[in-house]
Amino acid sequence: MSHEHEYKLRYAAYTRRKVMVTAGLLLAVVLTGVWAVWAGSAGLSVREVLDALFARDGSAASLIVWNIRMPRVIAAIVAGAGLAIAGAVMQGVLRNPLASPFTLGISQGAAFGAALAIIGFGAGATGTAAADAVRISNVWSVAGFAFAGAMAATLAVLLISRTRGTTPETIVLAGVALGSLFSAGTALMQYFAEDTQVAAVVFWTFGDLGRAAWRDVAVMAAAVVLCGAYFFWHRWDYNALETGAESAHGLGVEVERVRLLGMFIASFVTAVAVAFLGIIGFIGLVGPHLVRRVMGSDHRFLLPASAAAGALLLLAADTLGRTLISPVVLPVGAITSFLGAPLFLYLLVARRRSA
Amino acid sequence: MMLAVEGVTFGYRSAPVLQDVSFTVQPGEFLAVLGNNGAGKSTLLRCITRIVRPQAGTVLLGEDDVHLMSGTERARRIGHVPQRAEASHMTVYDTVLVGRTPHITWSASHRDHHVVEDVLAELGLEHLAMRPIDELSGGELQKTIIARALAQEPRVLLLDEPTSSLDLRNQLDVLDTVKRVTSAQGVAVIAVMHDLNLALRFADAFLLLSDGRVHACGGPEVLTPESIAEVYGVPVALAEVDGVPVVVPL
Repeated sequence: MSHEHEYKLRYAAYTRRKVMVTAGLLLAVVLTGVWAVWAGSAGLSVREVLDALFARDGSAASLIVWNIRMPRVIAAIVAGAGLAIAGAVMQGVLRNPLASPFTLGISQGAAFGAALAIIGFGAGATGTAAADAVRISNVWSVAGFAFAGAMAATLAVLLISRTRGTTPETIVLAGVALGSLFSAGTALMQYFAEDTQVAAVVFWTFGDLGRAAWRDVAVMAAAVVLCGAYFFWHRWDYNALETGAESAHGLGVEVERVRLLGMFIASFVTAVAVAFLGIIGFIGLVGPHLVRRVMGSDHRFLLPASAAAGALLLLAADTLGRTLISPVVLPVGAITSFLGAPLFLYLLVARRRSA
Repeated sequence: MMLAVEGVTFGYRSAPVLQDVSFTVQPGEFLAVLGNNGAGKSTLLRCITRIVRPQAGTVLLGEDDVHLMSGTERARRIGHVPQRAEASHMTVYDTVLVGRTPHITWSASHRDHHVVEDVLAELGLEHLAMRPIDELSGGELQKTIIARALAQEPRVLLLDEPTSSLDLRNQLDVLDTVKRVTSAQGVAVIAVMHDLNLALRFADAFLLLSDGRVHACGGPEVLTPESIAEVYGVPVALAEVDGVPVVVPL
């Protein structure tokens, strides 16, 4: 067969495979979601869960399913998708595979903000309730401070990179430096804080999906959907950036603007998720990298598939965390780091070997 | 559509790089930009595509001022192949398809795919279509990036040292292909080149830059041993070997 026909058939098959993988990931998200709603320490049967899902009758099963498990599951899906898509865009616009909310200091900024709210402004650890060893008394002010911290880190990184002329290397290096600075600030505050406040900060720092109420989930979902739509709209620009800034300029892309807005919006998504849930590492790094390995860096497919992969990873990690040593619920941030770090190392080594 | 560069002047804070540079390029013409390192050759290309904004002067494409166009309008008419392209984990086909970006509003149409198929056939890249570009050789990657610029269907193609990292065979191959495709389609080429022999072999017109000024501009007649010696500061002889003009430093 001539090359001409051969490559067209192979391209069609390649495209079909990417669509199938994305569809498979979405299906896996749905199935894992069903499992996650069913699994748990309350010992509900499948029948009870299904009844509760379709009839909100105020029964105990219905309350557990609708008020505890469903928001948690949806929060995992939304936050996982948002973190992964933000990571994919950061890696794309900075042309740096190590770019992610964590490596750019954004997560550390959020933690600093939360610590400031809890220790500096007494938004946490004032409770004496025996049921909660640690309590955050004002969830919204902690979330607000965390959001402000994350955005402050973002703005600082962007400003520094602008004054020095935007090269991707400067941005990543500035992010690393800022991350250390924020961590030092948090540590210093903890040093002078009371035990209960330190506990509250540590507790907050472990990302936990159980914190999200329906209202929080709705805010997160709106942010993720809007920002995801923006990213998808610009998928051709990100593809153009794949071969460097000058190439992209030659293709009519306003490189500076696409880069700055991409970074800003990706940070915004991250900040929203972190503000409500605490720090969840590695989803933004591992999600996109898994997808890149399977289907390449074409953002038309990379963005949706990364979102699905991120949702699946976070949902699976959280459900594992809830069921592994039930009824103890492990914080999902610790789980993702435990699973994510080795997986990421493996990806790096495996890539080196194949190259 | 003729490209006319008129009085373009550009400098960084202290040092002037280009001073009052003017020339024109006709459709289908291959113009080689020659000069020493630091003569302002790459900066000239960057001024034409407005990667940097000249302090004075205009760049006209037909009737239109290139610097007043939006990025997309410009990219539909001017293709730019920078000195170094970064490799990524994308197939050759998809990389060339990205060249359609200035024509795409939402998703790639049948016509976009046809253009890509034609360009791949024209440049003999079909057998590599499904290869990720981070697994290509230097020559293959360069051809892919040129293919992408041609997929923009530009009227003017800017090449910044298109052959500097290629072996002898690929140098000839890449320039042969560019020459064939662009003269057939009436695309003007402006190529920054270091190799005078390659320039003599492929270009129709020559722009000699010296310290940011136009030293000479015109057909092969401007490339004399005297002008080359003045621009490069090296005495040379011009000769012909089997009908091919060559420059030999003395």
